[in-house]
Amino acid sequence: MKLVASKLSVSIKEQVVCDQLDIEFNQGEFWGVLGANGIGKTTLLKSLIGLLSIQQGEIFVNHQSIKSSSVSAQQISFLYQNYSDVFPISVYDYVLSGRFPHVKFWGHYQSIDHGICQKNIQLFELAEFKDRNIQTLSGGERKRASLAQLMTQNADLMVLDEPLNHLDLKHQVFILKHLKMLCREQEKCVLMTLHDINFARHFCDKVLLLGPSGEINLGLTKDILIKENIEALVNYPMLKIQQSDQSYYFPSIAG
Amino acid sequence: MNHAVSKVLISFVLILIPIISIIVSLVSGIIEITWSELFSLSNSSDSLSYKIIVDVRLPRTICAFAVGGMLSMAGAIMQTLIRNPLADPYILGISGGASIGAILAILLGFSSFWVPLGAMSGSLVSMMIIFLLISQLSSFSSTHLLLYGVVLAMGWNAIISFILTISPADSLHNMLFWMMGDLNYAQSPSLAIFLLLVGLLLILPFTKILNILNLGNEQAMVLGVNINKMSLYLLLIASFLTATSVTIAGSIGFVGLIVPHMIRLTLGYNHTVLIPASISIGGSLIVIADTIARTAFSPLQLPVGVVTAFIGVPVFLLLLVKNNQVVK
Repeated sequence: MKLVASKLSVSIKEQVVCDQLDIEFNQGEFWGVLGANGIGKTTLLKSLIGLLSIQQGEIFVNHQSIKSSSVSAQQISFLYQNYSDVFPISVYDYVLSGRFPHVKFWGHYQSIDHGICQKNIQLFELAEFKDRNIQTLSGGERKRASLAQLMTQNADLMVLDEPLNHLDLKHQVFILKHLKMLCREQEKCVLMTLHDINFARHFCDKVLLLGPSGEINLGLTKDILIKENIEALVNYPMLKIQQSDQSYYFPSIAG
Repeated sequence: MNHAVSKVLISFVLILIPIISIIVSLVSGIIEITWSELFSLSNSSDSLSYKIIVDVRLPRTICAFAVGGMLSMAGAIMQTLIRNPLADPYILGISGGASIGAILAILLGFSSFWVPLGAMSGSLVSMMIIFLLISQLSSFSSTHLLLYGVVLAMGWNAIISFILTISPADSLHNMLFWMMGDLNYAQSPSLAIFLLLVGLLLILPFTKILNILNLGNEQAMVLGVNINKMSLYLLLIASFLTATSVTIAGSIGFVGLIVPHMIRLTLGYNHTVLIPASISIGGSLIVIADTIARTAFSPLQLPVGVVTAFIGVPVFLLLLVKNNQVVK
């Protein structure tokens, strides 16, 4: 699995998100996309995987154009930031719908599909809700259902738009660790937007920082997420705290 | 209850309800027909009861069932397509266009043969306008479709009001009757049932995709559904089903809106069940409603649309209230 964008230009009306960007996402890589509100993180993600049409440039998945019909939902999955559920559906059936790309046109969900669905329902601690209508879940529970569905889809490239919001801290760490494990053991490629600098520093192999007017800073996390870049990124003075051999960054809120 | 057992039981009930309602419809009417007469029909093909049942009641009953089935199926599809629980088969103005064609035919004094043809032309014009408007969009949008339809329907309504205003009093009754849904013009039951089956066969392979569309267009897109193609396909089928049923029986309201919801509330949202169950219940509802419309105040006939509302509204409200209690 390899996603390559060349000379990619994306803008939202007049605002440039990226200009002539060349980037490569390879299997086994864990990518973080960081940037201020409204800078175009979601637009960039959606453009990269073909959900939005792009102004300029080309995108290839395994050397095939993203527009070609051979690029499927078995290869790329996407987690939306928000969902609007108009019709009721049980949590179980919702998670199972992640298997849809793997079922043939005339086929049905097989026992292997149900097995994968069950496993992810357990994993995201949704078993007690599995017959509940998804519209009645809390924000965090709804998010976990979406994540379970995404894991059930089990695509090679998992693109997640702010998967951590609504989640309590325990589940935030859990999903990050789980995605990291998928990168290492199953050679998945993960690309997510997030705001937490410390999580990004700990979990992401590579980061892409979006600045105003299309400035992009990308590379290995340890090279890019350094104090001056972080302060420029968040546009706020940061405090560096050293704990054994790890350093952590926090906004200096005292005083 | 065991899952497999309940499945068989539900299928059995869904087949039984139409059969019972059709039999009840056949034996009810101004001229009483006993059960024994009904079951010995084949050996008395010259008798009066044979003529009443086979030549008069059976075609009308079959048409009633087909219309109810088509409207309910179209309603279920439209609700998913537009992602709005309030959508019904008429939301795109197809019935408005049909009404204009039909009441023009009545106004101009054409024979009753021409009324369905007028309705059909009107609904086809309406469909063409919707598809023309949709084709101008860069990608399919449920909101646009809904707005186009609602505005078009308003336009048709204005024209309908205009025609009603200038129409002579003696044709007004027929016009109003037709617009409330009227099976008196119903012709060719075999064609009606054939088209119902064609619609069902064209939808059944896609029920799995309809379930995914229920999650919303965005979700369906990332799960690999081609939204533009699929939406146009569904829109085309729902429109033709609506146009056909309006052509046969006028704008029978309400069935297409509530029957799919009744099924969702009782059997769930899975379209593989929802679509056939909607046909069974929607068809039966119109058969029963038409039977009541024919007999309740006979010799006076009621518009069948009024009766469907009388049955449907309380049943639906009851279901909603009961369902709400369960959620709590």
